[in-house]
Amino acid sequence: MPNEILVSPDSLTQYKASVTLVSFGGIILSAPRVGLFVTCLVDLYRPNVGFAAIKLLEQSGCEVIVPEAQTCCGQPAFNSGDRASTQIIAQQVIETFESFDYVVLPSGSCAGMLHAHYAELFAVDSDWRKRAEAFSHRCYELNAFLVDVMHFQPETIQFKRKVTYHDACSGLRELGIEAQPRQLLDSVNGISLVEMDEKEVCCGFGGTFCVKYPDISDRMVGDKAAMVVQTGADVLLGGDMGCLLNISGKLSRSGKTVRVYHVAEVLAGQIEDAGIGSADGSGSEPAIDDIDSLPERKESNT
Amino acid sequence: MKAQSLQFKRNASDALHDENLKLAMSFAKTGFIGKRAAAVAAVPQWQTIRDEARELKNHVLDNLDHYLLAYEEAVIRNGGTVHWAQDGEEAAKIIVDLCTQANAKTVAKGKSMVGEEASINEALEEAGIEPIETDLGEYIIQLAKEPPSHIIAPAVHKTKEQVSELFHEHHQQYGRQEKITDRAALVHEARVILREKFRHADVGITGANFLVAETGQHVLVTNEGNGDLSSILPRTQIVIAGIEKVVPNLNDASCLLRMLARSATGQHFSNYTSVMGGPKKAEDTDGPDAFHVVLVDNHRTDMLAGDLKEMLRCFRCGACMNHCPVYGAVGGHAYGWVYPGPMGSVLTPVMVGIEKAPDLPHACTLNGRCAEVCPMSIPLPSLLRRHRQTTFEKQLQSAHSRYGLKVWAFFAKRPIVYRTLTGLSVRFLKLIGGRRGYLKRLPLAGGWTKGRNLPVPQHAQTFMALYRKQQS
Amino acid sequence: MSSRDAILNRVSSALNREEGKVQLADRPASVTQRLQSPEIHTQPELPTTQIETLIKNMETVEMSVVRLQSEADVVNAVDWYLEEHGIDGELSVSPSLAHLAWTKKVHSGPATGTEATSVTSCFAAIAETGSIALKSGADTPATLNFLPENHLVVLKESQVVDHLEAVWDSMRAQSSQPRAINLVTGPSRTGDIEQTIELGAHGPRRMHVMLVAGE
Repeated sequence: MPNEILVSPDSLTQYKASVTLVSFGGIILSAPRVGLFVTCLVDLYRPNVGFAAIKLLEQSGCEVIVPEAQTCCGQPAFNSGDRASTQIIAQQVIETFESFDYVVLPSGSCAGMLHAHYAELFAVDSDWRKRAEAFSHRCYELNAFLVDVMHFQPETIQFKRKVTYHDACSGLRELGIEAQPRQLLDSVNGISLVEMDEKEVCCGFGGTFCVKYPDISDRMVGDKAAMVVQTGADVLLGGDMGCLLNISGKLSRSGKTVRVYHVAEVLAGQIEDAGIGSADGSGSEPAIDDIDSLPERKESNT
Repeated sequence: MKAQSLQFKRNASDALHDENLKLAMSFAKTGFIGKRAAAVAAVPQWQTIRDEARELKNHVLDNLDHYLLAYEEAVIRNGGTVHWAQDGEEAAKIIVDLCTQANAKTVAKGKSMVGEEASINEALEEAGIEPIETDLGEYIIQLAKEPPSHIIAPAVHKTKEQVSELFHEHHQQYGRQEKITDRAALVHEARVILREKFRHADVGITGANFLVAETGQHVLVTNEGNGDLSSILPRTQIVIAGIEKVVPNLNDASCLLRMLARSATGQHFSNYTSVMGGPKKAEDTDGPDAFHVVLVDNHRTDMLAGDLKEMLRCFRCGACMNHCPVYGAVGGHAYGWVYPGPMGSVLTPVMVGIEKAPDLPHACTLNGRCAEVCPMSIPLPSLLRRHRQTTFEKQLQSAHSRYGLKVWAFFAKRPIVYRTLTGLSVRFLKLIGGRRGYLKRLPLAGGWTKGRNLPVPQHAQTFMALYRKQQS
Repeated sequence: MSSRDAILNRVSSALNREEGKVQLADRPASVTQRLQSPEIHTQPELPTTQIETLIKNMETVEMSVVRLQSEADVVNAVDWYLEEHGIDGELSVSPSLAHLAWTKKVHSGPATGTEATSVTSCFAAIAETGSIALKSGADTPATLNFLPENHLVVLKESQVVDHLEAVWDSMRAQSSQPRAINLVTGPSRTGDIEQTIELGAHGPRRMHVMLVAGE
């Protein structure tokens, strides 16, 4: 059990000042101070994910702090072309979080924003550019942080479900997150993971895209929901609230009883609550009038 | 072609309700994606070749003037003539003049996207010259009087039944009364009819995949062989190409050819890759008597000067649109001009003016799959974001979305006010939708709730509020 | 100002040239180098031997291949192929093959447009791509490669090269360059109706390679 070889953070405070994270032969010698950026969608829609993230980070040996001054990572402004607002928000985030050893976000797209885009917001050679670059390197998506930095294995958890996993595009392509959540899920007892067809295809959320082009977004999420249903899985997991809200909304409108959770909820064993977009934990109520609205799956004819 | 990109939303909405389009696009999706993946996987050195291609094109762009001069010099050496066109209109005028000088009645055309930029067909028709598209896909849409909906598969939006209808309608004038529905028979009928057209064409016009500065030749890639027939049979051969198509030498062209077919159709190599240049030599028994090249700028120099320079690496394979879920849902016509999909959403605003295409850079989820498959490593999402910045600065987005963004930014910059607002929002949403866990309708979110439910927050309090409570 | 100068000016100014529009004489060494001594980029490795790779790649694109002991067997091989596929009609051959002891009446020269079949020699074949390289010229008119329904090619084993670049090298070594080099990789095809491949779009419907041993 990895948790048993963790050295108590209290006994190692003397290392903290200079050392970010010292790992020797898999033994973590110092507890990194992690600033948790819960992200706006978790803050609003799914507090459980925030608590699950804290639990997992602590289990992995981190000291977790949730700064009060956090709001949003700035993606809505960035992706709408409002560079000035994005800069102000990015500066705010950097100021709030740069004192931590690491910044962890339970979202690939927000982590991608901090990691891959903050530096480009500021003029080359400016002080903020340097600060942003130094900051970006320490920003991680939750699953990637747990696996790649903390070499974490979840505590024994039972989840006897057939699940499928949706890779959020930003996490997948900006941060290369694909293996990490699967590796973590692998240590959950009883779980069986079935991959969906076209799993690398976007669900149609796209942040402001789903607001500006709802009809196109709806077609895309319809295709995605059909792929989820086709796996026969009774649970859909993912690492990004945006995608999960979108897909769960389509599944429930179509009367499908697939439950939707953030992967952290399962890994932390905090799944007593109802799934995303449902109230009672038994899946969503079928909306009879919409039950056939999912597109039929076409046989491929290559 | 006049840009219809301002109507993107309406075009897209019509497209989403078009059942024929949906069926036709499903064929494209299953075909292109899997074949490309297999073709790329079969080349272990793919990434190395891809990196070399990027460096090669960057070198060309950094020395574009030198290579254009070298190419021009070599074409003249081969006995050809080079013409320069600053925009599409000038290109069309040059071509019409050349055709008129050649006393042309009919022109055989190979598929050319820059030719579409220049609306050559319309210009020729106005001058009383009949242009005949010889690529089967282009021929189909010429009969249908439609623009192409894909840069390498122009009729990708048509079903077999629609093609059958078109042929039946237009081929009766050649004495073909029977309506055929078999795919092979349709291809054969087009072959027979177009073969006659080739024999009588006075001028052949094709595009070029690469212009080779070393030899003054151009490389033309097709699968049907129509580009070669258009080049060899007519007396006069005209090549139209964008200025960014120049490459230093044939080895450099080879590097790009290794990626072109694999990215475009998943073939390891296209059927016909021809390296041609100049009129026929004294000893030749076939080939054209006269050879012209029209080099077109049409805002390419604007891109070279600005932060969209990387787009000039594009060699028009179409992989980005084949892998774009928005393109897959709405098809190419919704984009409203010559170039659809991700590359079109970068090019169209430059070429027709961003005021006429403000939606295109936004009609994208930034999922990044286009950049992932782009053989020329063009960071398409970043380029689209640059356009978005321009639409923001020029206030080209709808008042609704600008206002929404402003309100959101106001709160996002003020954490304390933000907390109050989010606290109220979750309480409200929980209040109206908490029983079911989702909302079927919500004012101001009608677009979302038309086709899907809106999940309501898990609790009547935000995470931050709950966390604070837990800590105290 | 001419459009030529306007465009070149814009290119030069986009590239921040201090001296303004460039002249031929301003060519930097890196450009001259690329024009005069083309370097070879990374080439995909051939999975098996040259000839095996060539044949496999040709068969992938619906070219049939038969191996012959010597050029003297070509006429028989052509007769056999035409009979096997029930092909009648006129036969045109490239002048480079007119000297063979044809058993049928053949036309030698550029395509007439009425022949069913052409038999041509070629310049090279590329194992990497499975392509036949055909050079335009009086002895090998290019129309023969495109107009007939059936295209039969005589290829000598010594003409096979590994990669594309070898074809360009042998072209560079010649005193005058041909108007066209056609790399043909299988019969003409189209996927323009519902993305389903059909052969014989504009060019040949069948391609048959007669691979002759030795020089």
